[in-house]
Amino acid sequence: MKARVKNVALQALLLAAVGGLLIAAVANAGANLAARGIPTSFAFLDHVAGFGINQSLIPYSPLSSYARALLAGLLNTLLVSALAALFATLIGFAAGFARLSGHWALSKLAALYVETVRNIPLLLQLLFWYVAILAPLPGPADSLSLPGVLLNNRGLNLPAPNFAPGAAFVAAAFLAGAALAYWRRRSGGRRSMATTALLLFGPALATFFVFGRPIGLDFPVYDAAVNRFNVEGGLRLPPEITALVLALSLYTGSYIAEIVRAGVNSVPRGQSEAAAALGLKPAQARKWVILPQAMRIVTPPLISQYLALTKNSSLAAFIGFADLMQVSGTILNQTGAAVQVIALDMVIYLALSLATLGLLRLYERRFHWGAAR
Amino acid sequence: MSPAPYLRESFASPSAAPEARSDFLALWRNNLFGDVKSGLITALIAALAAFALPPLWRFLIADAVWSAPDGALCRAPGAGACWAYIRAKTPFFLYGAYPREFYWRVDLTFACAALLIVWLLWPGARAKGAAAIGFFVALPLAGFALLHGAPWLGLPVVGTNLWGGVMVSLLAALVGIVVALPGGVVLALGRRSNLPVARWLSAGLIEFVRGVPLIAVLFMANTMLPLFLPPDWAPDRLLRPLAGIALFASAYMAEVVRAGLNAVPSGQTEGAQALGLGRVATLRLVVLPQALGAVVPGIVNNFIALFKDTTLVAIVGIFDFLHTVDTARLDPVWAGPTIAATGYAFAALFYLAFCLAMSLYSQNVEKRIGGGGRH
Repeated sequence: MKARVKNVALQALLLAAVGGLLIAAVANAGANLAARGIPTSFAFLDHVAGFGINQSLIPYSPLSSYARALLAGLLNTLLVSALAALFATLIGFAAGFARLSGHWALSKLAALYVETVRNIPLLLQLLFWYVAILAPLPGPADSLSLPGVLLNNRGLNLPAPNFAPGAAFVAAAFLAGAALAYWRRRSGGRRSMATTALLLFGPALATFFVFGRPIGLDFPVYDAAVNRFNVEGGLRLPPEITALVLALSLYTGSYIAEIVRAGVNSVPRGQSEAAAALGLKPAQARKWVILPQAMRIVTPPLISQYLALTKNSSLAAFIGFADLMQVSGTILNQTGAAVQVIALDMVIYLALSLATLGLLRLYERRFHWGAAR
Repeated sequence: MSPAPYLRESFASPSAAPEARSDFLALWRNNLFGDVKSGLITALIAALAAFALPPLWRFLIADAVWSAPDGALCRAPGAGACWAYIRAKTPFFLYGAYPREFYWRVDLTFACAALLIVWLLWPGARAKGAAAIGFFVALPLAGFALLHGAPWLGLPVVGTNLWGGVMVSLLAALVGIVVALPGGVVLALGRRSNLPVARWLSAGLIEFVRGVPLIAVLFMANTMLPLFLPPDWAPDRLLRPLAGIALFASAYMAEVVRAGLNAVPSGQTEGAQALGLGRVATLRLVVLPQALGAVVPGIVNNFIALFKDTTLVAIVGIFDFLHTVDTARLDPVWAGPTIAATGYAFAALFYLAFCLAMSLYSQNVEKRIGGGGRH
């Protein structure tokens, strides 16, 4: 009884202290905001932004509203994060397995990559790629080129798919084929690779030729007669996106490599020995025995790396790429509405975090459920 | 009775004994050129090294300019890294615009900090309690008096607008760790408390700070701290990001400490209670020493991450080490095509050396904990 009274009293005291601080802060903020003539509602979101955004996935002009600027920034954040997450996963798994390989030079090379990149601040790497590597590149006329790829100080130019009328039918046929193949594999029976491939690609290929090849590749070309100042055609990733994706994927890749290594090492040695005893080749043992068990351990930290990557993409603000944080900073400077802008940012990032955590919980539940089955 | 049809009637002939592997060279040959695939990989890596190492060697060592009065030599075509520039700018990289005659104040502060850290981390050192009090109480007070100045002690005030370079980076990391260790312990204990209010408040704060990027926390500290405090307090421009870093570090530290607390078996608490220890004494004498001891590698890794993250204070205009390097390259006396790369290479070497040393220490502790009779 006495303990309970003490507990309640303690909590009341804690609440009173925190509440008191909050009330004092709000009172101060009210006075400070009024003194500086700063807006205190979210109404400013509808006002004209007045600044440009160099790269936007949605139609945006300086005449658009602040809310639209924030949306463009959020989409840029998501775009860069998705691209970087894809490459980081590829790099990370490759480096992780390379570090585990019995080949001395290969494993040392992977170790060199991981230990170097993990121990240098991401911002330094980003500035290095952006300022020291991409900025001094030659102009469009003297682009560095690989087949189909042009790299110059205006960015990285990649081949892009182009769609003629009829492309939608090909896409629909591909989706139908994929559904058919999936259904067939789920429903059991003989699962030959050839049939699956035929089901998967057959309808799409047939439609592709019936509609006169509506999907093609558009290659970037520099032709001084057409455009003296830049490469035409293809998909152009500006240097900001290129540097950001490069730095983020190399940095996160080094963390993923360590996660993969730890995951594979956590599978007991007896498993690979048993696989060898059953006559599986090393590659088969990796695919059927080691990886499925390692993935259970790898996936949760992998997902938190994706989350960290999304948060790290806010470093875009340092190289002037209009991601959510950079747009917010501009709005903050223009309107002074610090509380609202930062509250919005926090809500958006927290929503992304919670969505990711939800995904993690779902995975854990599914994994437990799968194990019980 | 005839044997089952699937049983062999005679022994299979034994396969050849594996090649003798005593020879050191043969071992290497086998590893690097054992079969076609590993031979190919070796050749690829050798090609990569042959492609990448000579230019790197030429840029960093052979063609580098080691001493020059200004950037003219470094701007010559074909010149490599401009180490002369690093040499000329070293005071700026280390101390920012801190007055030259007071460098000793900075040196003294960080020498004390280094001494206390070594004392705290040295395995088996004595009187760690005194070291802890020195680090968490005396050092911040003395450091403030030394760095900022204390007119009543005869130390003139040096405004934070003059601070910069490695000094600010180390300061940010130190402030982070000095606040985050106690702060993290309090938050972690709060999150495990049986008082619901304490639990919600701690968990809310931890998840909130961990859910947003550090840049957002820095923006928040920079713009909202002056709004939420009384107008005449006007927190210093360096103090604001430091407060943000301290908050950020505490939230991450709390999760590390929580892992440590979870690793202490509940029998320890029960045993302490059976001996008649109170709640606070149980925590102080039994649970926390074991919990913190178990997560020393985690704490060090957290510190490495924090040190790398201090580079982000540049977003609110603070001149940390990386920001001074990034600004110095615009100096017209030195500006040239190789200056940016030189500066970044130097900064990378600095961070690499610092972080690698820390991570070697943490791996060392991990091994010691792992081998220390726990298993």
